[in-house]
This record gives sequence, structure tokens and C-alpha cells, in this order.
Amino acid sequence: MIVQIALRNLWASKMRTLLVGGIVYFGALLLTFGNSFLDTIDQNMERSIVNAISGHFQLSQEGAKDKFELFSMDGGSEKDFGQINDFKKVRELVEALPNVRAVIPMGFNFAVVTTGNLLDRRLSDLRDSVKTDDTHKTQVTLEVVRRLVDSLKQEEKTAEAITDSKRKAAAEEDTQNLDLAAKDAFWNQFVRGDGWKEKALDALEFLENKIARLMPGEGLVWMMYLGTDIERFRSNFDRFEKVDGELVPPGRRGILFNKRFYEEQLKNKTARRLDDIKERIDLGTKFDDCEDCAQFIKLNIGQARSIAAQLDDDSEAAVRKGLAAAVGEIPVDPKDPKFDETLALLKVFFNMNGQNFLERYKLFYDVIAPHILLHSVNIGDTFVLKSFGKGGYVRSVPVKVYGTFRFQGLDKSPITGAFNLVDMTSFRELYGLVTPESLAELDEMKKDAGIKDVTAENAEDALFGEESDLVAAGEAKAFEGMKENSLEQARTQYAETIADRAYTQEEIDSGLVINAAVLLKDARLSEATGKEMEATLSSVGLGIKVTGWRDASGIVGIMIMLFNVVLVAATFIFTLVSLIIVNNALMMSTLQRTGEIGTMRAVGASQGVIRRMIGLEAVLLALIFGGAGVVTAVALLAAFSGGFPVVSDFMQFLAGGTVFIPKLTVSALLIGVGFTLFSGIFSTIYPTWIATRITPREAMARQD
Amino acid sequence: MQPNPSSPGSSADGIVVVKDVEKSYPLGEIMVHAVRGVSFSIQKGEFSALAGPSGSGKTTILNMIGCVDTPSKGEIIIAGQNTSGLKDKELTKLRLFKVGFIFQTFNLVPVLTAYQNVEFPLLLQKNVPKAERERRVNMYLEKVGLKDKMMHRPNELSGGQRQRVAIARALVTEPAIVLADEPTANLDSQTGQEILDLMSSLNENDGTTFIFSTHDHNVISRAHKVLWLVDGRLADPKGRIA
Repeated sequence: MIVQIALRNLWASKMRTLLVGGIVYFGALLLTFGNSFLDTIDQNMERSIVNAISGHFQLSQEGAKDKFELFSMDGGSEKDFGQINDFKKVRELVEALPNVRAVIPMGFNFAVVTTGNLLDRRLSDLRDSVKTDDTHKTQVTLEVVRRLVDSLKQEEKTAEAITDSKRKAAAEEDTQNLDLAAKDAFWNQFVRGDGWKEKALDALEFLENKIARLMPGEGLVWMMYLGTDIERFRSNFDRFEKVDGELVPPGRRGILFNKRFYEEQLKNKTARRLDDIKERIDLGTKFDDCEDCAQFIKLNIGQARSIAAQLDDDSEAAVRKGLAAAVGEIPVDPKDPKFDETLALLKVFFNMNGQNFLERYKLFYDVIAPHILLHSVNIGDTFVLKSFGKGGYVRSVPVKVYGTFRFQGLDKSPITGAFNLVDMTSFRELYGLVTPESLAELDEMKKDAGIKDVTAENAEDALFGEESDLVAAGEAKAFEGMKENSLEQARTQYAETIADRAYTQEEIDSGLVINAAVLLKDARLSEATGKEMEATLSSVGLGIKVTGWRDASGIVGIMIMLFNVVLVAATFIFTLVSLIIVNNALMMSTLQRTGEIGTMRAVGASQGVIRRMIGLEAVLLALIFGGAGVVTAVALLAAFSGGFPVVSDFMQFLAGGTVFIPKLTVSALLIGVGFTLFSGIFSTIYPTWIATRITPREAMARQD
Repeated sequence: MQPNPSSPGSSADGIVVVKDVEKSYPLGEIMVHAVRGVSFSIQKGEFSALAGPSGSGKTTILNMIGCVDTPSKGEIIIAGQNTSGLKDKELTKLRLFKVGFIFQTFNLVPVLTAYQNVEFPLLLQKNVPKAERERRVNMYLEKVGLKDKMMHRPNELSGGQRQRVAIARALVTEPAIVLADEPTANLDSQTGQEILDLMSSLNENDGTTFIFSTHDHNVISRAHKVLWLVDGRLADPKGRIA
């Protein structure tokens, strides 16, 4: 009967039931769906971080000056996280734990990628071809170099018109040099004949020293790199995926560029801008509505000269033929004796619009890209990585580019997309950590230079004592080698030596690392494994700190934590507000039924019966509507199982990929059901309290 | 039994015994003395009326007899049980088993049918088997002439029909006394008369004890015993304090 009264009451007051039920329904729906949505984001972020970079735990030196974090605002370059002195031992100890899958050595730092400008690189090619007597290559490269110098001359003319008198004076020498380089006589030095090579190399030096610096450079590119055991990194972080080129062979030194970094920072600007427009169109932006696209097109038209300048005669012919159909006939300007038809054609070509963009984008890559330098560092190149070491000095290490990689689904992530992978040995050298080569090299240098090890106590005597022969011997021997070998040769030799060498696992592991990532077999047991790891490491007194991935993630960890706080706060506020509304509505309803409740009391209903009746009404209301809300949320999540496409970089990081698929999580389901039950129980407290205070007298006084 | 409108009765063995009862309550800063030292008794099977003008204390006395209110002083004995000092739980039980209520405004549970309204007190008693409940509900609905309307809800019934349902609900537990607070006040004279006839016949045929509070002369004239009240005291029919 009480159930019936409760149900009938709910039915009898349809508007109230719908209003209160609607709130409960919406609350349960929102909390289940919303929490699933946010939980999925949280899980995705966790997966993005754990399976790409951090592992489940990070090991670092205990008591280091700065708190260890993977993603600090300054990349950690200014921070001192200490070092793990005996990585090999740490790895052996930790990997012996049953739930540990792998321990990966690591170290982060910034480097500068200096690749020189376009002219620098072409001049380097020219020098090689002159040295090797490669006639064809010399001819082809020379054409490009001369075009680049001509383009500089053209730009200089434009600049002159707007330059003030002071700067004009300063640029006078440059102008004279450019004038010299513009003359046919200058280029005749490259014509084969007696002693041509010497003349050519002199001319090259002039171009390298006086002209190349006038060409706007690509600028210095800052790069964040992660020194690691690349082979083990690749096989243990399951989000890693090779994109271009090849993997660094096991044990070899080398670098793998992050595809995002490679495309955004090292790619030809014109090509990058076209990619950017294409990506926007692919994501649904209309070309004509895209203000940035119009700006990019304008910039690309302005860059036509730098593209034209990279083409030799053969490639110029190929480009003109390839673009002719798309661009149509270019009217020749009869008034301009130096009319450059290729430049005019490229300018028309780059003036793209919504109708022809996709066709011309394809043409760019099919026809133009094969003839220009698409990236400032090519796969297979060896380039010099410069980085501030631990001691604050700039250190340089030549590294070979083997290929590019990406973290699956995180191609555009600004966080994981920033890391490039460098082998552990190069990292140690760049960071200032001692490697077997540098030790051997140092010994060799000591021997050659006659340097002896001197103890601190005897230092004064050994250096300044009357009997000392140390200084004189050192001075004599120190520069002997330098006379015969140029610096350049020494560099080349060094690069070749280290590129060819394969390091054993023993060598990679034996040495210092800054930190290490620990990957688990079963992440659910991470708490227990963390404790086990701490106990194991502290028992041998290695001074290693174990940090969970959230704490170790620094700024990202804080972001995820804030995200969770917002999530909990939003859930709490929403629950509170809806409970207040539900409670208030039920209280009003109870007060409206004072007479009825009083009558029931008068005819013999106890306070318990009244409490059960009102309580049951609220509970039934909550169960029916809350249950419907939870079911709707589950159905909605099932309906969205195909996922939503995600546009922005940050959203892709949150989504853990280009498509966001919200999934029903157990915690969200529990929150939804919990809210339903809680709203049912909590919202009965006050109304039932009021109801049980109603006396039978109220029935006697009732006037309806 | 012949009506004896002026005698309050004083037998201590009545079904209802009211002894020196006083009821006072504060109203703002002043103390209202609603009932001042009233004593009387009602015998089993009597058809009695508490009569008097508004504010004379008749509803207050009725409430105290119905265990809805408690006296400030004195004692009330219902079917041999002294109600003084009883807790809410015990008073509730007394109401459920010994007292039936008929209200001026019928006070049916709007979401229940006529049948369910009548059945409700039996369900509260818990120990009445289903078959017995059905028998009694059907019997009392038949007695009040509403067997054919048993599945109707209150809003589908007329005022008179609702009061009949209320009478059936008051009788279904077969209480020692039935209290009726101005039972005809919200009915037209014709329907009021019919309701009085019904209660009178139930009294005569089944021996049910009825106590009314009323100022309606038609009701007073039908009562076996009339207790006149003026300013919270018993009086004679002319309004003189006894």
C-alpha cells in the first residue's frame, strides 16, 4: 500500500514529478556521461604520457638540487636533477622485480640545430663537387648558386630604395661584394682550365665568407632531445612508431627526429605553409573562410624567388613543363629585359585559391618538391648538435639522422611532439658525461701533449718548481698535430669514427644517466610495485628516488591533477545544487500534503509509516529517473563509439589521438548510480523530518 | 434509548471518561484556557454531541478524546485505558485500534480509491489477514451504500459519497468510539441529513458509539446526549455554566 501510495503520489503530481525527476535524470545522465568523458580524457592523457615518454615510474637521484620533472617549463635545461651513477646496477635490480617490464635510461636537454642557410648548403655541395672533380654536379650546383646570388642582388636593389643613409654606408661593402659576384668574370673562375681548382676554391671561399651571410638564414632551431637507449625505447614504449628512414641500428649513434618537429621546424617554409592549409581543409575548414590561408598564400608568392633560385636548368625545365597545364601561358613582359619566366610562373602557381588548392598542392609535391631542399636536414645527413652541457659550456657532437618517428595518435601533441631521440652515448657527451671514447681520447691527448697527472699536493712544485720540465714539454708537443691536420679533417675523422662504431649493451648501460623510466607489466599493481622498488633500491643504498608518472610529469602532471580537481569539484557542485533543488521540491510537496499526512496520522499511521511513505516516494523517483539517466548515458556512449574527430593539437593530446572515443568507465557508472541513490536518500531526510513532525491535529484543522 | 440532552453523566465506567480536564496553550503572549475543568462520561453505544458556539472548546475536547491532543490537566480514559502520560507511539496505537475519525472535510487520501481508503487503517493494523480485510471493507462499503463506487477515487465522488467513505474508514477497524468533527458542516442539508441517518442507523443497529462536535441543531436534535459547552466549561442548554 505504501509503495502504491508513493507511486500514485508521483503520478498524481505529474509536473512536480517531471521537474524533480528531470533534475535527477539530467544529473545522473550528466554525471555518468560527463565523468566517462573526462575519465577517458584522463586515461588518454595517462596513456599518452606513460606509453610515450614517462613510463609508470621515473627513477632519479635522491636529494638532487631540483625536484625531478619530465616536462618543466624550461625543458629542465637550467635544472639540476643530479644523475644516476650506476645505471647498470639499477637496471639489474629493478628489472629483477616480477612486475617490471623494462627500465629505460634517459636524459633530457635542449640543443641548437645549425644547418646554415640555403646558400651555405649549396656552397658546401659545390665545394664537394669541385674537390671530387664531379663536372656535372659542379655545373648543376653552380647554376643554382649563381641564381641564389642573383636573387640576393635583386633583393638588395629593392632594399636599397628603403634603406636610410647610415645603414647604406654600412652596407656599402656588401654591395661591392655582390656587384663583384654578379659579374661573369667572377664565375669564370669555375671554368675548367689550368689551375682552375685553386681559383674555384678561392672564389668559393669568397662566396662562403662574404656572400652567404647576406642570405637570410633558416635561423637557429631549438630542439629538445631525449638521450636514451633508442633500441630499448622503441621496443618498450608502444606508442613509438617509425615514420621515415630507418631506425638507428642497435648500438649505433644517431638521431631520430620527431616527425612533428621535423615537419614544423626543419621543413621548407613554403611547403610547410601548404601543408598547414591542407591540414585545415582536411579538418573541414573552407579555404575561402580561412584568414590564415590567405596570409600563407601571400607569403608563398613572396617566396617564389627563393624556390626559383634553387632550380638548375634541368629542374627549371621540368618545373615549367609540369606546371604549364595548371598555370597556363605566362605573358612575357616585353619592357623587362631580365624578365624571369620561371619566377613569373611560380608566382602565378603559388597564387592558389579554394578551387585549385588541392590540385596545386599535389602538383607542388609532384613537380617542385623533388627539385628543392624540402628539409634543412635530410635523412642520412650528419649534422652537428650543439648543446649546453652540465658545466655550462657549449658542446658539439656530430650525429647522423636515421629517420623520423611519431608517437601513435599523438602526432600533433605539443608535449610529446617536442622530443627527438638521440642515442645515450651522444647524450652523455653533449651533457658533459664521460664516455669511453672521450676518456681514451683524453688519454691520447695527454700522451701526445706530454701531460702528466699531478696530485694536488705536488701541483705547485710540478708546475713552477725549478726542476720542472712539465710546462716546456707540454708547450712543445701540444700543437704538433695541428700543423698537419686541419680542424675540418679532424672533425670528419671523429664523425666517421663514432658513426661506424656499434656500442654493446654493456657500454650503453654502463655509465651515467640522468633518469630512467620504469615500465610495468601490469599497471594495476603499480602502487605495490612502486613500494617494492623503493625498498629494493634503498636496501642497496644507491640513493635513487622513485617518482610516480604523475609527479614526474611536472607541468603535465599538474595539468592532469587540476583536471581531476575540476572534475571532482564540478561533480560535487552539480550534485549539491541538484540535491538542494530536489530536496526543496520534495519539501514543498510534503508541506502541501500536510492535511493528508495529518489524516493518516489521525487514523493510526505511525511516524515510521509516514517516514517510509515519503522516503519511498523520493527513492522511487530517484531510482526511476536516475536509472533512466544512467541508462541514457550508457546508450549515448554506445552511440558515440565511433568517436569524434579532434581538431586542435591540445585536444588531440587530451584525446590520445585524432579521434576521441568516450568510453563508459566503472567509476563514472558508480558516480551515476551513486548520485541516483544519494539523491534519493539525501533528499528524503528533510522532507521526512518535516512529515513526521506533522500531527493529527493538522488533519482536524484541515480546510479543503 | 431516549435522548437526555442536558445530563453530562458521571459514571466512571463509561467507554469514555473525562475527569477534570483542562487545556491551556499560549497564543502569543497570552495563555488561552480552551477547556477549564470539564468532567463527563460517555457510555458504550451512546450517540452523543458536544455542542456549543465556535471557540467553546468542543473540538479541543474531541481532539483530546481522540488522542490527537493531550490535556494540560486531568485525565481521559478510553475503553478503560488512561491516556495521560502516553507517548506518541502508544497514542497512535490507541487511535488505530480504539478510535475512528470522521472529519468535517472528509480527509480521504486523494490517490487511493474508495476501497483503498477504507482498507488503509486495516493495513496499518498489520495483523488483519487479507481475506478478513476484504470482508470488512466490502461489508462497510455496502453499509454506507458505496459498494458500486469502491474503485472510484475521491475526486470522482460527491461530497456526501466522500463522507460515506470516511464513515466506512472510521468503522472498518471496529473501534470503541467514533469521533465526528462537524460531519455535516461541508454538506448540503439534504446530504447532511442522509449522513446523519446513516450514522444513526449504524448506532442503532451495530451499537457503535458516536461522539460529535457540532453547533448544528439538526445534529443536536438527533443526539441521545448533548454536552453543552460555553467558554471551555460545561453548561446547560441555555448557556448557564453547570
